[in-house]
Amino acid sequence: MAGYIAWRLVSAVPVILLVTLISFSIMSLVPGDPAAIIAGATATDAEIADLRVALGLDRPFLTRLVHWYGDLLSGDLGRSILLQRPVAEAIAERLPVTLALGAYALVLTLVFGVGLGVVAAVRQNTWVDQICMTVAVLGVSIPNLWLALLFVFLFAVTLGWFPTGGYVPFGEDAVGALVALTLPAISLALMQVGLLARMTRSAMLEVLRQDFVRTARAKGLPGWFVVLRHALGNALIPLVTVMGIILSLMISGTVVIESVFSLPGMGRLIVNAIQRRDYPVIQGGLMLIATALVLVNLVVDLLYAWLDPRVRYAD
Amino acid sequence: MSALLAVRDLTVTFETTAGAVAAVDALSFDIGPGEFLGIVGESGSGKSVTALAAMGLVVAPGRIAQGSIRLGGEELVGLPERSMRRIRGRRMAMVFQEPMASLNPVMRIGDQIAEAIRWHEDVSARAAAARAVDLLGTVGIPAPAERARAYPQQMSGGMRQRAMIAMAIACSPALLIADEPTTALDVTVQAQIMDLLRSLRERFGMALLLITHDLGLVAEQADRVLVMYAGRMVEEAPTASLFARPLHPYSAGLLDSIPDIEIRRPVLPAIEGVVPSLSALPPGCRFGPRCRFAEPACTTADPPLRRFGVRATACRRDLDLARA
Amino acid sequence: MLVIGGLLLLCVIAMALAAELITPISPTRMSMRTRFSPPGSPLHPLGSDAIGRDVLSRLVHGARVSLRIGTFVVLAAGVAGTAIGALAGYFRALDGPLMRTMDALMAFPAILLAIAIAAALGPSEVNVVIALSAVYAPRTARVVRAQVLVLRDAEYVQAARVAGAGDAFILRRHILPNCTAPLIVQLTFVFAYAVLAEAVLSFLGVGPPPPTPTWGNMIADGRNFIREAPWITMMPGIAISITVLGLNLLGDGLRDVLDPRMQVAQA
Repeated sequence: MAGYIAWRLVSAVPVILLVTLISFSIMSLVPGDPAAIIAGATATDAEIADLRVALGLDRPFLTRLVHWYGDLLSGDLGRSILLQRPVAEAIAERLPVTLALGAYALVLTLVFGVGLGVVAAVRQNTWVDQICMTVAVLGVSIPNLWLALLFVFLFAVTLGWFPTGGYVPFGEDAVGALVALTLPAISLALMQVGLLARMTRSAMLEVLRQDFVRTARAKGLPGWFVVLRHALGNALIPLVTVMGIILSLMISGTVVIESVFSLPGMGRLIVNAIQRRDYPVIQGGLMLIATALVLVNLVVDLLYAWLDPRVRYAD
Repeated sequence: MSALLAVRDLTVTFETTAGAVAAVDALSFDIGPGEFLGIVGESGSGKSVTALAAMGLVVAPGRIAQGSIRLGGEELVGLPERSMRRIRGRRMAMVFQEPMASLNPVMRIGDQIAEAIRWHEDVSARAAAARAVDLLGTVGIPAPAERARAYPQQMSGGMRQRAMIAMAIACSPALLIADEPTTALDVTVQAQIMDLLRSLRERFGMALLLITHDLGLVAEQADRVLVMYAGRMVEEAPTASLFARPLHPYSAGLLDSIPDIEIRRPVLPAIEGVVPSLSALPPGCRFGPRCRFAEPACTTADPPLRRFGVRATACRRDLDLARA
Repeated sequence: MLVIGGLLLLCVIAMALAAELITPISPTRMSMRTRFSPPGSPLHPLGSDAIGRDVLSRLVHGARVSLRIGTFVVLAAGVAGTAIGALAGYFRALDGPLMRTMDALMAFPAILLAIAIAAALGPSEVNVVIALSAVYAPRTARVVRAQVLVLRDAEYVQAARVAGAGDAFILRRHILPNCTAPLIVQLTFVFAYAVLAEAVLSFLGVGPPPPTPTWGNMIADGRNFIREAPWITMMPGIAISITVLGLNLLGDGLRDVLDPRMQVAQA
C-alpha cells in the first residue's frame, strides 16, 4: 500500500510538468506572428511591436518558458490582454459561478446516474431496465449544447418557468440562485448521468450475482438493504475512479453551458479568451484546470485503494 | 414426533430455453427438532436447490412450482417476503460452500455478524457488536475481538467458515442448513469444521441439515440420510441402516466409493457414467442407464418411492437386492 | 442494438450521399423574401433560416461535413493511437515517457483542449480534424496499450519469440490483429464524440467557418431566433442526436458481440 501511494505520487509529477508545458505551448501552434493576429487587422506596426514585447514574444521560447515557470512558482499567472488585469484575479472572480454550477450538476449526476443504474440492475431485463437504459443512452447521445437551447425554448421562453440565463449570487438570493442554475445544471448533468447509469448498472450486475449477496439475504436482511449496503457498497468502490472522467466531461460541458445561459463562469472566461486570443488567460486557465484534474485523479486513485480493504491491506 | 421442518411434494423448476426442468421433483421429508439429517447426492441432484427452497432463496429463472414447506407448522411456500425475512437468519440459517465468496469482501467480519443480530432483535449497535465478538469466540476463533475488526481476505479459509457459522447461529436458529460447508477447505480443516458443527448442535439443540456429495461425511454423525439423484429422492434411512444395507443401487454405489482404511482395495470403485441432464432424462428409472441391476422393465416407468417403516426407497428391485 | 444503431447510421450516410437528390437547393443560397419560413413550406420542407437559407439543404450537406470530420478523426486518431499504444505496450522502455505524455494530454478536458488547439490553428475543417485527433488519439492509445500488455505475455507470442521472430513481425503478425476488436469499438465511440465535438467547436466559432453548412453552425445561427424560429436550432440538434445515438448503439452492440467477457456478463 505504501509502495503504491509513493508510486502514484511520483508518477503524477511528470504529468503535471507536461501539463504545464502543453498549456504554455498552445500559443506556439499559432501560425505566423501571434502578436499580429492578436492585435487584429487594424493594428499599426508599432502597436504590434508593443504587444510582442508585452507578451514576451521577442524573446526565445525557452526563455519565455523558464520565465513562465518562475512566475507560476510565485503564484503569478500573468496579465490578461483583454481584461487588463491579472489572470489569477479574473479566474478567482469567475470560479464561484462555475463551482456552484458544477456542484449542482454533480449532485444531479450522482443521484440520477447511480439511481438509474441501480434500479436498472435490480430490475434487469424488464421494461424498467429498458426505460432506464434508454434514458442513459439518450443522455450520452444528445448534445448538451442543443439540450440547453431546447430547455431555454421550452421552459424559459415558452412556459416561463425559469429564467433564460444569468447568474444570481447565492449570497443575495439562495432560492433564486438555485432556480437560475436549474436548467444549466440539468443540461450539464445529462451526459454524465447517462455515462454513470451505464457504468453503475454493469457494476451492480457484476456484484449482484456474487455469493455474498445471497448470504446477506439468508441473514434475513430486507431486499433494499441488501441492494444498497451490500451490493452498492461493493459496486461503488470501482465507480469512484470514474470521478475524474465525470469532472473532466463536466468542465468541457461548462464551456458550452455557460455560454448558452450567459453565466459569468470560468468556462465562459476561457471561451472568450480563446475566441479573442487572450493567451495568458488560455494558458493559465488550461493549466489550472488540467492540474486540478490530475490531482483529482490522484486523490481518487488513492481513495479507491483506501476504500477497498482488499487493496488497503494487501502486502 | 412433530416435525420441525416438513417438506411435502416439493417441486422446484428452472425455466430454460428448452422449457422448464424440475431440479427438485416431488420431494418429501421431515426434520425433527434437534435432528441431524444428511442429504447426499452428486452435483445436479437437486440437494442445494432443496436447501435454497427451504430458505426461500430460489431466484429466477427458478421457482417453487408446487409443494409445501412447513417450519414449526407454518407454511413457508407463498409466504410474503416480509414474513420470510423474519424467519431467515432467525429461526433457520444457512452456511454456504465458499466462505470467501460468501462473505462481503468490503465489510468487517464483526459488522457482518452484528448486522444479522440487529435486523432480528431490538438491540443496540454496541450490544450487537459485543455479541458478534462472543460468537466468534464460540466458534473457536482465537482473539475474537481482534478478528471481528478483520476483513474476510485477512483470514484463512477455515477461519472464514467459522465466521460464517458464527453469523448463522447468531440468532440461535432452530434449524441450521449447511450446504457443502467443508468442500472448499483442506482435509484437516474439514474435520475441525464438522466437529464444530456437531458440538454447536449439541450445545444449542439445533437441528442440522447437512448437504454434501460425500457420504463419508455424514457416516458417523447424521441421524438419518436422504439420498437424492437427478432431482428425486431415491432412498431414505437411518444412517446405520443405510450403511449396513443400502436398498437402492445408487446408494450402494456411493457407499462403495467411500475410502475405508480397514478394507484395502486396489482401485476405489466409482459409479460409471454421469448424472443425466435434467432436460434429457432417460425413460423409466432415472438411474437406470448407470445401474448394474437394471432390467428391461426398469425403462418403462420411474419407480415410485415406497416406504418400509423408517426406510424408503425408489427401486423396483429393492427387495430382490436386499435379499441378495 | 447493433441493428438499430447500424440502421440509424445508414440513414445518415444515405442522407449525406444523396444530398443533391434530396434537395436541389444550394445550402448557401440566401433569399430575403422567404426568411423564417416554417417547416412544411412548399419551398422549404424543413423551413428556412434568418437569411432564407433552406434548413433541409443545410442539414443534409451538414451531414457530409460531420461524417467527413468523424471519418478523418477516426483514421488519424486510430493510426496515431494504435502506433503509440503498441509501442508503449510492447517496449517497456517507451511505456513511461509515452504514457505520461498521453496522461498529460488526457488531463485536459477533451472539448476544452480541442477548442484551444482549433482556435490556435485557426477555424477550418482540417484544423478541427487535427484538434480532435490530438484529443482522441491518447484515449485510443490507452485502449491499445492495455490490450498489447495482455498479448505481449501470451504463450503464443512467447513461442513466436523463442522461435526467433523479430519484434516488428510479432507486433504486426501476432499482436495488432488481436487488438482490432477493442480498437473498432473504441473508434466507434470516437466517431460519436467527434460528431458531438464538431457541433460545439462550430457553435463557439472555431469550427469550419460560416457559411459552411455544419450542424454546429446551424445551431449557432438559430440560437438568437429560438423564440420565433425554433426549427433552425431543433433540426440540426435532432440530426446530431440521431447520428450519435446510432454510433453509440453500434458501439455497444459491437462490444457485446466482440468482447466475450461482456457476453458472459449479459447472459
